[in-house]
Formats: sequence, structure tokens, C-alpha cells
Amino acid sequence: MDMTSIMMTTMIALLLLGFPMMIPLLAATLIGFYYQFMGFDNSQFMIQQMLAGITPASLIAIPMFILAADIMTKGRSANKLIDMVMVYIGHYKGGLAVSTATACALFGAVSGSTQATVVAVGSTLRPKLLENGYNDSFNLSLIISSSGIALLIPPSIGMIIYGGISQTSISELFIAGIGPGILMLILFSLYSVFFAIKNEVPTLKKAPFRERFDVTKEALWPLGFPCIIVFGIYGGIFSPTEAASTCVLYALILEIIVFKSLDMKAVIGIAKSTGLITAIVFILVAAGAAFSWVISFAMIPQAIMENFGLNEANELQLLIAISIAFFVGCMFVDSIVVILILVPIFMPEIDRLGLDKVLVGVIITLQVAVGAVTPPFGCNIFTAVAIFKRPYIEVVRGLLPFVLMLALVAVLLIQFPQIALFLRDLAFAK
Amino acid sequence: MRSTSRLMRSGYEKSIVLVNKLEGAILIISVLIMGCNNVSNVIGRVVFNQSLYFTDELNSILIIFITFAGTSYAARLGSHIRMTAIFDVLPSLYQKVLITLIAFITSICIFAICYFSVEYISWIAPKGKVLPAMQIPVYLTYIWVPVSLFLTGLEYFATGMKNLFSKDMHLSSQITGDGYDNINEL
Amino acid sequence: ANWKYAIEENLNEVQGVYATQFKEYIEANSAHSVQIYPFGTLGESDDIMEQAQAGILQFVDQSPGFTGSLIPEAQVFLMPYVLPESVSEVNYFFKNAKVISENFKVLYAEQDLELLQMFPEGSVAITTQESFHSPADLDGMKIRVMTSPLLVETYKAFGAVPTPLPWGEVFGALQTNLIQGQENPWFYIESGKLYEVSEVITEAGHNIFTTAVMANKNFYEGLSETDQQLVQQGSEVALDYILKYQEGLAEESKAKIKAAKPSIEFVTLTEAERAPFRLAAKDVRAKFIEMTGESGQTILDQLEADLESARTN
Ligand code: NA
Ligand code: NA
Repeated sequence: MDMTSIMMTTMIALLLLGFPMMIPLLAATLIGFYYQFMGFDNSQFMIQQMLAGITPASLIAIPMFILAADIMTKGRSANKLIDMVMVYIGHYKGGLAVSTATACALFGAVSGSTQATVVAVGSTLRPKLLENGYNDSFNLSLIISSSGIALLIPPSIGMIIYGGISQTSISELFIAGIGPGILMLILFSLYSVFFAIKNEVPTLKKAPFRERFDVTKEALWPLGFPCIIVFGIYGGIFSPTEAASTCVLYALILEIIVFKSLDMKAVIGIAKSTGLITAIVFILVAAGAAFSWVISFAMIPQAIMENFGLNEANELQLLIAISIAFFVGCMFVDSIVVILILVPIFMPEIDRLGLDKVLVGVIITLQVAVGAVTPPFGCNIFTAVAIFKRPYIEVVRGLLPFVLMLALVAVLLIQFPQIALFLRDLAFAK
Repeated sequence: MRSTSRLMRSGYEKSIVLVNKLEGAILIISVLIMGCNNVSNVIGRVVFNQSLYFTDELNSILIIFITFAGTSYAARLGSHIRMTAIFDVLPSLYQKVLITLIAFITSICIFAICYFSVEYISWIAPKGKVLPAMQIPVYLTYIWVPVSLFLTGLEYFATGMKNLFSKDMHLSSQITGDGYDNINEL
Repeated sequence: ANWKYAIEENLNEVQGVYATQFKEYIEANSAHSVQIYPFGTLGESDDIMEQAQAGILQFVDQSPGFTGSLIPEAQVFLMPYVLPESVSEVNYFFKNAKVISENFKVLYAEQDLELLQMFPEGSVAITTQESFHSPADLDGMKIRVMTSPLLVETYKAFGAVPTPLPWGEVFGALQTNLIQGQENPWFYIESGKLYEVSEVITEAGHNIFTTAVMANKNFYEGLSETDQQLVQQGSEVALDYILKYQEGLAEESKAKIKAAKPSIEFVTLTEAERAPFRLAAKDVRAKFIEMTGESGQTILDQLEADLESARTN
């Protein structure tokens, strides 16, 4: 077998066996080095690339956004946002489900990761959904699919990592994710209403005006987060990293001074958990960088593209190939790992065709969201199984309609790139 | 014989507690400094029209600490991301064999990387490269990498041993199969 | 053998053109082949430099702006108002300078690198949103620079607010007015479409973007006499080509920019307007000596002697 097959076979085998995800990447990289240099003589450069992979300044936005979201979740901001969504739409037909999707989108406007959204929104709203007669398969499907919206609505860890390795403006990616994110929200909401009517789910009482007023007043503070991110970047005040840092400052002011919900001890706990989550993400980024170095050095991407005839593909064919590759990848592997492995492989062809890297980034992010909720495998499915301790079959039972809606968004996005690029072109006056 | 092994084991448990404290402290301090660093930089640039020149360099030093200390810490919590769809449906005996293998192979792999990181640092140290703004030798910022990798490798080795010699299934040397839920507490 | 050569730019940019010339010469005149790795494929500039030092790569390009952390003296090529503007002087300098063939050769050798050539990539222009004619006009303007302390010092001395920013964010930051300007050679402003997000491009004549071509030292010394000559000739042929290629390149880029964006304004600072900038450059010189000490002084002296002979030839 040649180097490429051995690397790929080892990687896939270790992934499927359930190794910690850094290991398939690192093991494949070690094999690559061994083959390239006929021994382990130059393997120290794997470390160079691991370190180089995690030190770009743009990636610092990730721990900062994780920190901000962590402060919000452990404090009161996240729940105040959820409360506000509830008092406005909770009482319509399917309102609680629509609220869940909307809360995911809103929380996603602060958080960059799907998993954090599943935890923050899911653990608050799933009990309410159950209480009000929605069946759990629907609830779980709704929560994990809607959490994908968080990936598209800025900020987005996936976009930050993609921007870093593809040299694409993260600010532009962020703005371009809003359109598809909102489209997802609309589709999920429509389905929720349909589901509620069909299953005759009872509606909630309408909140009295006084309560609406109070809850809205309370939520005004946390609504500052999306403003900081969108208008900060859009208005040219902040780079993404600066926006993230400002969110941290804002979150601390809110939770410590305004809501008085966190003390120093809590902040220390948050710093620790942020450090841990960051490390779990960044060790993958490090391993991915080493992996992509060795395949670039061996000219593997060019060989793969040639093998699949993609070196002569047109724009549409390449976009479809990218979509399929990311979709399949995300069924098995964490989205970050998929981005780290596949982006360098496709990059030479993306450059050759001069594709808009922002559009490619949004398409990739969307496929990541789709792949992560598609049975039999799907990273969000496993997250939900672990977090809500529900059997796998129950989690996946209700997913089909959501997967179909996501697939529809994906097709629409390739057919009408303006869904993503409209806001970008408006914001950056192109 | 027995008492020596018990002594060794309790020595191991004690040092684990110590290492946990140390790496936990590294995580906390690094994240807090990183927060302060970036917040001051934003304030400096937006309010006083003056960027801090060392911000990026300090960030890269801190992210190296966080990533590697955190990797080792997360290994002890058994909370690294895994694709467990196949693993979960296996009968428990197979699970136990597999998790033992996973632990030992992971340990070997991490020890190898640890060795290469020592090689890299000793290769780069004499080159005298410094961080442009902070004027700190670059290799000094990498010093914790092999230490954390060694501790990570050791943790996976200990996990393998625990699985070999005890009845329960261990996801890390401290956490058994039922401790899965730890992931959620993060 | 198959030699690996990493550069900091794309194949259609100046470094790519040089590397392609070199590759073609080697492949036409020997059984060796050259694999070129364009920007980003093997890591950032610092990474490929280390890989060349270790001998994983046989050849590498690095502009001295990035070499500062390794060889502080290399930042002499970033100093404002040192290199000449006239094409013949520039060409003479890069073909004959002792500071390159002797002084820097030794400094690079200490880093396990055989310095083959240095070549110019064209004069550095400054893109901004509003035109400027004096340091006072630059007051408060945020200009993106590479993280070289000397460049930071330069733009401080020029009256601007130097803002270090990773390259990937520059385009977006200009669009959103996070920064108001940046500097780069003309061809790069054109190929990177930086003119799309700028209103004015100013030629202040303060610098020429320079790049060093290096081989791994052990690799080079292990080559047979014939192969060493082959490499030397290849690097010289490519240098001659690039010096020719340079002539009119800036004009060509300007024409392309003007065609793509007719509203763009080109400004060339007059001699009188440059005077205060030249004066400010003195502070930068002092900073350079402070950073590099005696060795830097020697380099600077030799550089000036070389420039003097370029003037008189
Ligand atoms: Na988000
Ligand atoms: Na899936």
C-alpha cells in the first residue's frame, strides 16, 4: 500500500474504534513523517506544526468566545434570553418549540459551538417541552438540529478555524453566516408549528403584559451580546478577537456587577472549564495542522483531486464534491477535525477556480451542521446521547424532517449564493 | 511485595492530586491573564488609540500553556472527544479489551510525540530566536509542552494498567465507565 | 534528486516568478527536479525558514521583515529611506553588494543557511483612505504592519499608529475601517486586491521590498562542485530575470489597478514632502543600532559603501 492509503486507513480505523480524536490524526501524521523521511529523523517538525497551528492570532477569538458563553451560561444571561423568547412566542401554536429554536439561534449569537448550545438551551427547555406534551424524540431532534444554527450565526468556532487555515476574513464569514442561519430558523419554526398542530400539543398561557415588560427589561442587558458582535464587526470597531474580548468584559460586568450572580470563586471555576474546553478543541487543531503539513509536503491533496478527476472540475462540481465530503466527514468525526483535514485537501482546487472563499466557508459550515445530525452517525447525536442520557434510537427517531430541511438549505445555498453573500456584500460594500 | 505495590499506588494517587492542582492552576491563571490581556488591548485600541504590541505574543504563549496543560488535565478526566458509536454497542468484555488497547496505544503515541517535542525544543533552543516584541527566547515558551505530553502519556498508561488489573472499566485512571457524565460538567 | 523550494507568495507573484525561473534552469541543465511550495502550503514564513534550516527543505525564500527575530541585522532592509529609487542603482546594488555577498552571507551561515541571492520585489507603497502629504496628516491613522519592532518604530516616527495584524485579517479590517492603511509592494497591492478597500495609494519612496533566497547549508556543501555551480548559476539567471521583470512591473500593476478601480488616487510625495519623513527616519536608524549593536553598525556602514558604489556606477 502507498503512504496515502496507509495514512487514511489507519486514521479511519482508529476513529471508528473510539480512540480520542487527536490520536487518529497524530498517528496518521507519524506514519506520514515516517514515509516521507524514511524514518523518524525529522519528526520534530510535527511539533513545529502543532505549535504553529494553535498560535495564529485569529484563533484567540475561540477561547474568548468560549469564556464569554461560559460566563453567560453559569450566570443568568442565558436564561434571561430564553425567558424573553418564551414570553413572546411561547403561547402561539407550537410556540414552545419555536422558542427553543429561536433561543438556540439567540444563544448561538454569543456561543460559537453547537455543544455549548445543546447544553445551555437544551437543559433549560427540554424539561418544559416534555411537560407541555411534546414527545422526546421531537424535542431532542429539535434541540440538536437547532443548535446547528449556532454554528452559522456569528460567532462560530468552525468559521474561525476555516478562516485561519484558508486565509479568509473571519469578519466576512461571520456576516455571511447570518442569512443561512435565519433560513434554518424559519424552516424549523414552520415545522414546529406544523408538528404542534398535527399532534395537538396544548399551547401555553399568554404571559400578562406586566410579565412581558419585566422579562424584556431583564433581557435587554444580555441582548447587548449580539449587538457587540454584529455591529462591532460590521461597524469596523472590532476584529473578531476584539469582539470576543469585549463580550468577555461585558459578560463579567453583567454577571458580577449588574446581576450579582457570580463571585470570584465562580469566575475561577469558569476560567478552568474554559481552559479545558479550549484545550480539547486546540489539541485537535494542533494535530490537524501537523497532519495537513505532512499531506501538503507529500503533495497528497493534488494526487487525491486528480484521482477523483476534480482537478478538472467546474465550480458547481467542486462545490458539490466539497459538500458531500464535509457531509460524510461530519457524520463520523467532530466538525473541527473534518475542517482541519479536508480544507487543505480542497484548497488547491478552490484557488485554481478562484471560488469565493467566504461562500465556500459558509457552505462547509452548513454541511458540518447537516452531517452532525444525520443518522446513523452524527456528532450532535452522540452529544445528545451523552448529555441527556437518552437511548440512541430515541434521539434519532425524529431527525428525518430536520435533515431534509437542512438538505434543502444546502441546495438553496449552492443555487442561490446570495442567501449568504447578500449581507456580506451589503456590510462590506462590495 | 504487596505493600510496596500499595505504597506505589498511593504515591501515584497523591501525585495525581498534586498534578491536577498544578495543571488546574495553569489553566485558570492562563485563561484569566489571556482575558485581561485581550480586554486591555481592546480598551487600549478603541479608547486610547494605542495597541499593546505584545498582545499577540502573550496570547500565543498562553494558548500553548492552555492547550497542553489542558490536554493532560482532560485526559485525567477522560473527557477527550471520541467517536463511540461502535464502541457503545459492543458487549462489555469487548469494550474492556478495546479500552485497554486504546489506552496503551494512545500512551505510546503521546510518548512518541513527547519525545519529538524534546527533540524540537533542543533543536530550536540554540538558534537564539526571540519573540520580536517581548524579546523572550522562543524555546522558553515551549518548555511546558513535553512536561504536559509526558503527563498525558503517563495518564493513558495508568488507565491501561487499571483496566488490566481491576474489574471495572476505566475511561481514565480515576474515572470508571459510569463516570461518562463528566463530559457534561465541563 | 528532487529539491524542495518553499516561497512566501503565490506562483504568479514575484517570488513565484523567481522560483519558477530557478526551477526551469535547474531542470533544463541537470537531471534534478525542483518542487515549489507556494505560500501557506507548508506553514508561515517562520516555519518554512526553520524547515530549511533543518534541511527538510533545500531552498527557501524569506523577506528580511520576517527574519528579524532570527537575524536582527536583516531588518536593515526595512529601514526607511536607505535603498535608492533609481532602477539602475537598485539593479547594480543587488548584483554587486558586498553587504549581501559577504556580511549577510556570514550571518545566514551561522543559521545553517547558504545565502544565494537577495532580490527586490518593488517599491513599497502605502494604501490609505485619505491622502497624506506630511507626518501630521498621518496622525491617528492606524496602519497595519508586520510584527517587526523596526516597522512599528518606523510608522511611529512617521506619525501614524502602527497596528500589528495577522495578514488574514488585513482585507476585512480595511473594509470595516478597523485600520486605515497598510504597506506592500505594488504588485501585491494589485494581486491581493487591496486597492478595492483603499482610496489612495501613496509612493513615499521609503522602501523597497526585499527577499532573500537561501539553501540549507549542509545540503549545499554536500553538493558536487558541478551542482553547486548549477545552483549558483540558476540563482543568478533567476536574479537577472527578476531585475528585468521588475522594470515596469509597478507601472503595470498601477495600470491594472486604475483599470479595475478608476476612482483610485495615486500620490507620489514630492522631494519637499518627503523631507520630514526622511528626518523621522533618523530615529529609526538609532533604534536599529540600539537593537543590533556593533554588528548592525558594521552592516549599515557596508550597506552605505555599497550604495555609494551603486551611485557612482
Ligand atoms: Na454562533
Ligand atoms: Na451524521
